[in-house]
Amino acid sequence: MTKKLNVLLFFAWIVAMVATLGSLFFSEVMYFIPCTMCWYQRIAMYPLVLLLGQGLLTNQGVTSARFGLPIAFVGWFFAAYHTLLHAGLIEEEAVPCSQGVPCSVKYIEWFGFISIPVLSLAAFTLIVGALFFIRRNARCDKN
Amino acid sequence: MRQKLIVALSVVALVGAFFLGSKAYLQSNSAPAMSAEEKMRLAPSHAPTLGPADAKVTLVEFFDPACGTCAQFSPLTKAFVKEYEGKLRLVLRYAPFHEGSQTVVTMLEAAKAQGKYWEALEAVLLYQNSWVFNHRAYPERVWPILEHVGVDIKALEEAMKNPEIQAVIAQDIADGKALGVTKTPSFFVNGKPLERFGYDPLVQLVKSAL
Repeated sequence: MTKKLNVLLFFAWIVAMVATLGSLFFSEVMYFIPCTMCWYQRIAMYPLVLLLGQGLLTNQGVTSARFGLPIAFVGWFFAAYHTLLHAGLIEEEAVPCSQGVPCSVKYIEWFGFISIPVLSLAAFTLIVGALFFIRRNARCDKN
Repeated sequence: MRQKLIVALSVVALVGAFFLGSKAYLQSNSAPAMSAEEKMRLAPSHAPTLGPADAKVTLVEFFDPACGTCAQFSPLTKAFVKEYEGKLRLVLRYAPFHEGSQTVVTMLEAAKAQGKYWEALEAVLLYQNSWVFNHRAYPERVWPILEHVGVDIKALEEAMKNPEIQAVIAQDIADGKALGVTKTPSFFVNGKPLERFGYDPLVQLVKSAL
């Protein structure tokens, strides 16, 4: 893998790392209760830290990008859906568990538009973009 | 080799930032002092109370009889009343979030007239798993429990019709909302909310107020 692609992988990993720690900060330090949608995004984000990190450590960046891409895409899909839900463009169906937090609850709103799903969507977009670029440009690589 | 070092250093830096950030957040975010009006809202005269009115410490608990954690905390709050006798006052407020639990609260409130409130409450919490299933309260299953502690059911049914009881519940729900109670149990010690939920934090908060 070329140096440029390696830097890109490192960038994607950093984004995943910041998103993971950030989401843990919201739930464990600020005590925001994560809603169901948030959990689906976490399920996609957390393994990316390990997967991409492993790729960096073992010089198998392209492979890790290849495996990470579908996971990141699933996360991106949920983040996009959640963002639209927050924006009010999609109606939320009845929530099965009355004890939980409805996914339309907004915990933060920085500068009027940055909510947690928006942050998540941004992170997944960056990761999907980076991983896609790595995969495409490393087609000829044996790695 | 260099790459591994960079990855390792990044992990250390980011995780370190996480913990420093947590510390800074917790320090900057202690709860604001309550206004006098909010304090008045905490312990109205209608609320069930144990301990002297002029106690040094007032422990207010918003609870739901159908809430499992509330049942778990009940021995602890009782122990407080006993251990700090004369120094601590326990005030109970209702936050019936579970389906069906408002009826159970009505039963408890009606038991007051027979002087059986605390016995009824203790039994209802103790046998909670016989009338709460899947976060839903089944009030009809509470009758035998009340009967067991010597509540006259006929008189209770009559007392439950008292409109004052519904007014009390409505007041508690309104006060809970105003005070930001979204979970049960929610504790306030001398007007200070319990910030980090748990057994030990509550003990610490009470001790710090004594």
